[in-house]
Amino acid sequence: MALLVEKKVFELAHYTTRDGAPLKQVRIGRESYGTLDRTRSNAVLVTHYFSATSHAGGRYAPDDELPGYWDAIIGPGKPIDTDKFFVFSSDTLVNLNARDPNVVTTGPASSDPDTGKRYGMNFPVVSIHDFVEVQKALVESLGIKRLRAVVGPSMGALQAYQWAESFPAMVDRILPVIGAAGGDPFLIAWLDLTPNGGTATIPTMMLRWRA
Amino acid sequence: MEGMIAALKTVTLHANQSDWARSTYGKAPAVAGRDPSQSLSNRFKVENALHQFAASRAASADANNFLYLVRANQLAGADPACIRAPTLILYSPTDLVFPQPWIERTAAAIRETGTPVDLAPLHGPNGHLNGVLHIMQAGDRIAAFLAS
Repeated sequence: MALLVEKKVFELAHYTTRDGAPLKQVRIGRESYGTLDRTRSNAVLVTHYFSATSHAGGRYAPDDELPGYWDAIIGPGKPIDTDKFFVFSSDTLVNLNARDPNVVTTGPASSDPDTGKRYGMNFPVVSIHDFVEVQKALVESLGIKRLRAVVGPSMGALQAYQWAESFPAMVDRILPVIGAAGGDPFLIAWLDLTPNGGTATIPTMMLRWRA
Repeated sequence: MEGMIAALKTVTLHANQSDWARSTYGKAPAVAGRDPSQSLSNRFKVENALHQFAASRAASADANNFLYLVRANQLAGADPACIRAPTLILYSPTDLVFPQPWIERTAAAIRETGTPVDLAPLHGPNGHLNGVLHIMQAGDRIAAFLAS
């Protein structure tokens, strides 16, 4: 039977970024598969890759064309067995797919509660570490004190390593897939090339510089 | 929108590999009978496919979020020497985004402090994306690690 999942929203009234920028009403989407046990000790957090969302497994509707990206390993009787584990995942801050109706994220495309206008390029710089701090608040809101594992591919692996470094008392084990810890200067330079076809993005940046 | 499509083409191609391009598209023209040798406007099938995929994703993407997401990844800085949690790393030997030597360096740095680390490869034609598309290869390893 297809695993049906429901997208929910987690809201953090206040969050200060690692660099000290205060944000209000930080909202991220989340979804889960399986049931949290009575002692809340069977939780597995899945962290998503660069262009992905919280949709790691199952389907939002029975006639969805595709399931979540790791549906092969998440579900009843599968390697990340939802008969045993409460498996959950959240949209990161500054999620790429801000215009996808199933995605809830806070970033430049969101409205600043203080002005009612989009943050645009006034949004503060955030890091993988900030993604993890917001996830930690989500974990605590669910009453979970320890995670059985943090599992994720690529950018999800970067988050798994960060979880292990930042919150060692909350993480039993990590399973990073296709990712190395700490980034790499070569990757920094390569990532800088990616938006260089960015005729859509450059005018936005120029507007800010002129303002 | 064209800028977003170009950015997504770059990210998508780099996440894949030549075995995929060769076996899926080869050097076929995008349109039969319109050979790329005849005109610059005649394109290859692999070029068209990548463009169409990126265009389909660009509609739900936000260009500013893309720039911020890039910066968030550039700032990734977890120190492997600080990791104490038992670790299983799955990697793709043909990965162009996180090449195998980088993965091995991370594993060695975690192991250095006495933390147990295991490594297992994910094979397939898709390079980096073997970690998404062929993850089931490591299904037993994943289940055993979670039960350990």
